Amino acid sequence: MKNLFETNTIIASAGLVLATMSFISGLQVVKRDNIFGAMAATLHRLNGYLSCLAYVILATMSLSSPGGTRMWPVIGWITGIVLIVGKVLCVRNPKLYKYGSRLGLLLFIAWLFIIYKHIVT
Amino acid sequence: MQRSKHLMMMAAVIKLRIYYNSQFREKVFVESGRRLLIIFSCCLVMLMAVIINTQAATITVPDNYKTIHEAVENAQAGDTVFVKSGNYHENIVISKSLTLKSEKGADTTVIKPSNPSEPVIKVTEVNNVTVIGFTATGSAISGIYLYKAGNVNVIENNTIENRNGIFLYSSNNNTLTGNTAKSNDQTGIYLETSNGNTIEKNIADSNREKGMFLISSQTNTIKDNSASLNTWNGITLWSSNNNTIKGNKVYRNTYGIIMSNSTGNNVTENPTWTNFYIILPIILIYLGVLLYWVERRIFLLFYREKPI
Repeated sequence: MKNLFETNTIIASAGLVLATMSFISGLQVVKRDNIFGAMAATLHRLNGYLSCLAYVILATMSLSSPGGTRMWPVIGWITGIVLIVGKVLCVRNPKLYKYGSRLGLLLFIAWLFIIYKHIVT
Repeated sequence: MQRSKHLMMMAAVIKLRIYYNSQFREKVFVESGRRLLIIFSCCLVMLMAVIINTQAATITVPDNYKTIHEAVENAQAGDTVFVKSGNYHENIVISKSLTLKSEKGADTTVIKPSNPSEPVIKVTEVNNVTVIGFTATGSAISGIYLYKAGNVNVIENNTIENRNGIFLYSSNNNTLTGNTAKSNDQTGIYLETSNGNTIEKNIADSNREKGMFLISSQTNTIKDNSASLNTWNGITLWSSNNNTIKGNKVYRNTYGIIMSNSTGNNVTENPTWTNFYIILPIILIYLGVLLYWVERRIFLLFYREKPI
């Protein structure tokens, strides 16, 4: 039980909660006819940036830990960053907007993977 | 008249003898004092020499010797080999009582074996050795190997990606504290015919077979360690009796604690959850949905609607 209260587990948990919130608000944004669309966009952006912050903190903690700079962890964290940046670029580009929701789903799955890796370790 | 003369002469002779005797005594006293002083000085010098000789020296790597192995070879029993941060490629064999210590801990002092078929650090047939703060990686035998060693303290080392992290063979009454034995091909901490050891506050996670493995090892204390995420067993006891296993975290292994042909072991307060990592994400997703609803309610209080 002690491990659940370690910093990386707490940040990863917060990240997944924020990613869930961001994902739901993102779905609301996609439904443009929703009267709460504009507010959902603000919420989506806020939760997205916060979960991105959690991601950066986790990545920094992981990469600065012993053995953190090995090939697979580095590739994993860089892939995540590429995914985040790619998603932001997609939603800002009208031509690529339709791919935004798929990348959002991928980000949510990435957070599930992160939580899997950070629980009780 | 003659008698009085004789008496006077006798008195003069006695006086003269007394005078010479006193002079002689004084001389003898001075001489003996001088001799005592010389002996005392000699003893003092010898004592100083003995003290200086027996005082433990500190050898610094790479200032005094370029390699750790060289420094260990040239150290006397009781010396401290102090290793500055850096990457070292060598196999170290310790066969005398000494302290091997890194400057800034395991994260910055990494030893890879020049011969991977030998342990990175081997403590062999010796008592009273301390190894503090190294990362030992890349050995096909073991990161740290204690062979017939006693009263060895292995403190705050990392043994990563070896065959075994820390391996004790026929080694008794040693202490392993605060070490990390992760991602090894077989076992994190492995004891074979080793008795009376204390293994405390170590991390034996993510090894490809077992976290901790005791074969024919008795009366060991395994306390407050983590043996999680290992491919097979967290902690395994095989033909090992009267050990104390207390307060260890044994999460997400295929099997938590396995005991075979072992009796009299005291196993208490070791959580062995295997499925919590499935439950927690579901809880967190539910929490996310709930918090989104709360967040939306709060935003609705002051957010002015406008179409997007």
